[in-house]
Amino acid sequence: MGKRCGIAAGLALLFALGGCSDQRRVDGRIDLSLWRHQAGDVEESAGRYAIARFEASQSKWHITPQSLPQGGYTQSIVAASLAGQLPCLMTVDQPMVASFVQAGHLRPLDGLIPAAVVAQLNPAAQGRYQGHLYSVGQFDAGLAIFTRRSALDRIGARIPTLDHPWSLAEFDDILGKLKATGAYKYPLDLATRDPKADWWTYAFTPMLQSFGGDLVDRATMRNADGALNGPAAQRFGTWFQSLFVRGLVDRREPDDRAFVTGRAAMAYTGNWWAPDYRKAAGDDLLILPPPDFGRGTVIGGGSWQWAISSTCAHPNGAAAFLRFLLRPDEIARMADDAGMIPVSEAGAALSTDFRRGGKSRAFFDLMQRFARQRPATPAFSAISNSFFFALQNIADGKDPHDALDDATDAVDQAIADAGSTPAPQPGKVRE
Amino acid sequence: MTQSRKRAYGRRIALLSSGPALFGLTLFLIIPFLLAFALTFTDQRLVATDSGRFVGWRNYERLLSISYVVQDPQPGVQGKPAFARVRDVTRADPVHRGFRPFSDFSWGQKRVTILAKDPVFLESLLNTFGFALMVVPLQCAMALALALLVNAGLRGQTFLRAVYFSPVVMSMVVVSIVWTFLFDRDLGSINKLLSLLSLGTIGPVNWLGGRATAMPAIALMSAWQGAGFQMLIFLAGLQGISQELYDAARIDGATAWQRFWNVTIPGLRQTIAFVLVVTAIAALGLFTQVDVMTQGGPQNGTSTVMFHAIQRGVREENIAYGSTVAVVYFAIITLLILAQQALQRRWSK
Amino acid sequence: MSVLSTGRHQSVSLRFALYALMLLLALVFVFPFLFMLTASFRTNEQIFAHSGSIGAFVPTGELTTANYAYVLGNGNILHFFLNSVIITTLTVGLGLIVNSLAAFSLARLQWRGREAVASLLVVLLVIPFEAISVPLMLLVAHLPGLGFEAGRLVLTRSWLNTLYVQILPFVANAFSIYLFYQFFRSIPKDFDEAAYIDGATPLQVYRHVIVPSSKPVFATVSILQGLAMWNQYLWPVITVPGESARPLMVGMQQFFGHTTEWGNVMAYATIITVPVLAAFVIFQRWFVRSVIGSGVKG
Repeated sequence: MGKRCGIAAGLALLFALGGCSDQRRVDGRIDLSLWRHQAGDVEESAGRYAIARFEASQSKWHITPQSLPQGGYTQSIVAASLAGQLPCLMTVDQPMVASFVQAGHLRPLDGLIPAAVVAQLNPAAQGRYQGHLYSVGQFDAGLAIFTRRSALDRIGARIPTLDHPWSLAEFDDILGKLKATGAYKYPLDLATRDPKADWWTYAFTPMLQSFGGDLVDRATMRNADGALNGPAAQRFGTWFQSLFVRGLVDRREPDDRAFVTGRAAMAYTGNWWAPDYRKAAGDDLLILPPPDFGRGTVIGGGSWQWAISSTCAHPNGAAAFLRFLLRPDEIARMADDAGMIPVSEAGAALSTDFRRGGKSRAFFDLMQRFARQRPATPAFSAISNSFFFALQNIADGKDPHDALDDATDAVDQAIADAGSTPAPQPGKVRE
Repeated sequence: MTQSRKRAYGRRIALLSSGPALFGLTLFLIIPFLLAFALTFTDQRLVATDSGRFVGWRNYERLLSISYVVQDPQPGVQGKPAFARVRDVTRADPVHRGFRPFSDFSWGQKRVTILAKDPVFLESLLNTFGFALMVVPLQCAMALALALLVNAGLRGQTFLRAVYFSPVVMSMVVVSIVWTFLFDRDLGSINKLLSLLSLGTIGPVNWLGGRATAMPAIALMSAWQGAGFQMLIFLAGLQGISQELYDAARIDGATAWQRFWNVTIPGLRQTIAFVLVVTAIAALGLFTQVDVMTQGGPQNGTSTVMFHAIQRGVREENIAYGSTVAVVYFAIITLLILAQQALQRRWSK
Repeated sequence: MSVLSTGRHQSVSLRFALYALMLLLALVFVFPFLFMLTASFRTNEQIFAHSGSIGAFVPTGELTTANYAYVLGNGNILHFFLNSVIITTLTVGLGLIVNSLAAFSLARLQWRGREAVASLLVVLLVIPFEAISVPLMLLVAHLPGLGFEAGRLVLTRSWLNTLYVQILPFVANAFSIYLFYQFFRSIPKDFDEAAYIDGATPLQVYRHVIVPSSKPVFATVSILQGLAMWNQYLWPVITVPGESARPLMVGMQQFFGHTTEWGNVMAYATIITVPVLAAFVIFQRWFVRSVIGSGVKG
């Protein structure tokens, strides 16, 4: 043991990292640690600038940011919480909020952020669980159908509007005609190469919902039976499978540039691709609402949001940072710097790209109108994974009804297992 | 020094020299494993780390329960016998609550469906052993062939050893990504090459997307990746075989094949046994390739036990259940090892 | 020498056939590596343009070093590289000492229970790391460690975010001990008995008799443990959220996270692979001879 400790000490001397605890700095500011998931370079640098502006705006708080790979983000949080090393501020993927709350990692934001500030945010930007607010989004991401006007003109397709999105029959007809032109091996790109459950749940739950199904019964939040495997869900599953059978979608795209290179006529993807697509298609680019499969168009709302950890020694400082981020001018700034969708009307109005007439306004309107959050339950990971495997199996030829039944059983069990322990009471605010 | 003091001294040295390693193994392997074992009796979740409550054998029951339904045919369309959907039957009957179909077969006019509470685990178990049965002979044969080749006394063989060994040094993640690209149905080089060699008669094969080809494709890649190392071990074995045996065989007029069969193989018996064991252990732990290349698909066709354990334990945050998968799997392998050792002892008697 | 052997008896045609076979196999073994290397100098468009031809493996057409510039310019790849080097060398170095001593004790010293320990080792070989990673994480998250805070050395409450959390759990290795054990058992007992008669202590026997005659197995264990450490991924992702102790493999994941510029990914992969391959090529004669000479014969 002695030898080991010696080695450990030696190593620590050389390389160990300073802990994540809060401390007063030489300049008299109090240090707040911040963890964020690794996003694209653009989003991260926009985030760094926002921190710099926050620090310039006051003299009490300093923020030390740390970027973590998305792959193990949850495990990192878990490990850190066990070790008492949770940062003060952290980003949380909105559907994970319930799980983190149940585990006691997050502090309610009620009272820390004025109700008036919260009220101006879109509902999808508020991470709520059991009646309390735990996270706030500074921006949202949104999915849309991207296509080229020329491709639609060629087959004489109607250009849909917010009020009249394509119907299921229209959408099917258009995809069939695009395929029939012979110009596209697979006319629609659904990013099926993405091996992460997150993407499949985020992208295809809205379709399931538009068909009339859902991941869980939202009325009770206690089970999936009937929602995930009912007649509407079965229609969705059958249709989803047919996309692959009819050769409209590639089961596994070799890369995500099918639309940019013109291999695909249409892509169903997020606003983060808009810059590349604009570059590739120029004025020919159309950003369209996803189809209305029967119960209205739905788009997944709720992206990565900000939360304060339950162990944060200076929640007031952390809240000051969040209040700063939620200022309309900051929301607008983030939107323009990183191309993310603003979450308030006031923020959008100040943004160059998202104000009325701005080049990305379409996304803001889409989100205002169609955004729906994923279910807030601690079992979300299991739900997401089950849905992901059901969809993969359906795409690979499994009977859709069987696949959805399997997922339903798994989800019902996961919800029962996860239980819903009462939310922990907020600790006393020190300071 | 007296005998007893000498023995005490020896014991102290023995303890001192094996101590650090045994301490490390205990702290970082045995204790975590016992911890995993303890977790299997709880409902511990990954995120809510203080949730662990004792639930008895529930995880084992969910993992291992098997049942069956027998169905009589109903008059179907066009005279063919039809059966009610198994899922409708199981979901309606409380006795079969939680069971899902695993596989079915005909029994006269009736249809028998085997049910399991976790059919994916059973599939994964079969897939894992299927993979081992594919990759172990393939990889060992490949390694032996390579070893014979680079041991033939040809010029340049030192360089070629390095070439054959080179995939071993590449990270499995990297190798898997590269091969995913090579296996791609439309753009992958393997299909292009096949089409070229067959003058276009072999159409594009959906290697990783087909139930019949996905696991063999992964096995092929894994054997390719690992064979270089076993090649070196076989080389060691080959160089331990006395040249005189070959000369004697030659004088007796043995052909190359006879020499291989009667001199080389017996001479390599120990080596072959060692290589088989090492390769099998690695094969039974298959995870990375599956995770990167197929995520267990298509239709669980490449799901393995370790993949299942990680899916349930980490991705779905049910570490109690993930641990149960791992513990049951460990028990199965340990039983296999014990059986193999018992057989070996009987053989050698 | 083997069945295919002994120059004198080989016919010219057999020799030719063997050469052809060796070269063909060499191509099979090296083509993914060439693919990686070539793609790392191309843009996505170029990669796809060449994917159907031999050009996928040969650097022809438009080449660019932009991928390397991007990879080296974004993120702390050099820092991560240094971390990986430290983790790998320290684990291998400590592992050689600790594991060989344990094997020495098991194979060459008489003590009660050593047979039980030896057979336990075989069972431990079977435990896949994935199976214990979460419990191990729960454990190291609670182990007291050392760290810096405000310039002072302090006792920390856990091992997270350090280099040693990536080193210490992997020093003792059942497979390494097993390899050493197999080899040490094959060394004739007369050697150390002679030394004992001359009054040597067991540790002297270890240093002056066993180690000098076991260089091959030391090389084998170094290669195996070194590769495993260099390529480690799952564990650091869980236990090292910060950047300061992040290894190279996790750094690469950052590129998979938000790019499908295959060129970037391949450039990163090349940077990870080339040092190891270079080390192997430089030391390969020594490596190969060592492994061949080592007792990994079962």
